[in-house]
Amino acid sequence: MDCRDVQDWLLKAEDLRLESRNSPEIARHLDACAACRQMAGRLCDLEDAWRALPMPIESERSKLEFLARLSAAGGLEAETQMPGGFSGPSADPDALASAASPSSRDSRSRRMSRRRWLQWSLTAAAGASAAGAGAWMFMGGREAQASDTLLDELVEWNLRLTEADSAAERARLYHERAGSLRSSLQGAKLQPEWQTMAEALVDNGTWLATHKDPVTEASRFDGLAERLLDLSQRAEKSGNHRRVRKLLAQYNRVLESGVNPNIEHIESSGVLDFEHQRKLERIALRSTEQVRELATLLESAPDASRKEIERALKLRTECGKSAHAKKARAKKKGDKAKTKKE
Amino acid sequence: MEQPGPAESDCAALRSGFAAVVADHWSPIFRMLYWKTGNVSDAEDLTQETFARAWRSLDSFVAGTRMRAWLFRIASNACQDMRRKQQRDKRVPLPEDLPDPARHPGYWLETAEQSELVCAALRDLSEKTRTVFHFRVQESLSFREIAELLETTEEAARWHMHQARSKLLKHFKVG
Repeated sequence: MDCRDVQDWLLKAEDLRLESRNSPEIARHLDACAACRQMAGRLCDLEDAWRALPMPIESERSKLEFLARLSAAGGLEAETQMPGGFSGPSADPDALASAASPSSRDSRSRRMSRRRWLQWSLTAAAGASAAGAGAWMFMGGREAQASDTLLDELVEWNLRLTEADSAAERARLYHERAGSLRSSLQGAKLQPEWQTMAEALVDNGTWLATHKDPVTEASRFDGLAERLLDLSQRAEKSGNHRRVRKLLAQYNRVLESGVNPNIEHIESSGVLDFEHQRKLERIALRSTEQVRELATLLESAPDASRKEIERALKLRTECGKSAHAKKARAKKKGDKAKTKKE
Repeated sequence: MEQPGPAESDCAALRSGFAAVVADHWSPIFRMLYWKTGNVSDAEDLTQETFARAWRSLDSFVAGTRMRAWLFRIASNACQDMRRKQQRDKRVPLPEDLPDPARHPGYWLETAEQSELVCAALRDLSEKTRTVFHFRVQESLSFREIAELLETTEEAARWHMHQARSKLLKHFKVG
């Protein structure tokens, strides 16, 4: 056997180590030929390196999500409860529908509701064991500033991503900052509510890097806005007016550059399916609830925060009207198309 | 190496112990789908779809055969269905996000230099070649098993392996 034969054999062998030992001809050649021996060794090293590749962290998270959904739909024993003994809501409509449905789903468009349910479940569990909204008051000044800055950066990063025109541009923006933002998050000592908020922003940024769907983007940003409003209300309860202003400013940024523009772009994305229409409906409903909450906030707000709250009210009202109108138009279009087909 | 499945067909037992099935096989299925699609989002969706389908069709699992091979088959079918649906919907496929070592400093939990370089080399391969390489190297499936899973011939599976190894060596300028 010459080198060409042996190298060809090595490239097609099922088990490099075992077969080369078990074939006397190959073993003899490898003993005698340094070049072929080096090639065999290199191939083994490279395959070992492949085996050593770590799993993406999303694997574990999606496994927990799946088990929780199945458990919620009554499919598993008690041992499948989520970590910390939190077994998930007994009736999450998406979980039940998804777990029971025999047909394949447009799971991308439902991932937000599935994951959001999981995130909110974990947030509720974390929130119940935390010291409560009052813990905010005891956060040191420097830590508060650091978390403000980090949150600002994360919000801006998300908005830059959603504003990017092309998938390539999004990928570039993502890669530019993802590493440093994750490192900052790991190194920051954040209160649980802030940690959850920051993680939600990182998660959203990661999602945006590989998706482009105006309805789902609007829905995701709407979810983030809701969290920011929740944080503002907690800050208000603890009397931290500076923080209320800061959070509402971010809330307004998210509505103005994350939610509303995506709603505006919806029409160019074609006829909306049922799931997308549902998302728009949820945005519209959420808007109604949040207008009420903002109005309550305005009543008790000092002068310094009023400007931000009034702007928030304006943006939220526009958002709700727009989502409602788009949804109605999409339904009309869909019905028309159905009639034409028939 | 995975042991053969339970000696007796016991759908009820499988159902009650499904959490253990998920725990044992989730990572390999996810990993295979990740390297097959090149995309974390698709891998997540498809892994969940795989186990959902497995849950629904536990009564079709043949006792004494390998659970993992059965799951791989379901996963491959789910992936094909997704591709067909994407073509039908004329959806633009997501960009592949196989890790680029220069751009994912914080993405992986832990990386070795060689692993990153192997990743970079295999990014240029076709999905099938990457899948064959993965099944052979990571899952230790024989070429016969790989051929069955991918509905191709043993010779074709060997050829893909040949391609993958050649590419790796070329990338590292050996031989």
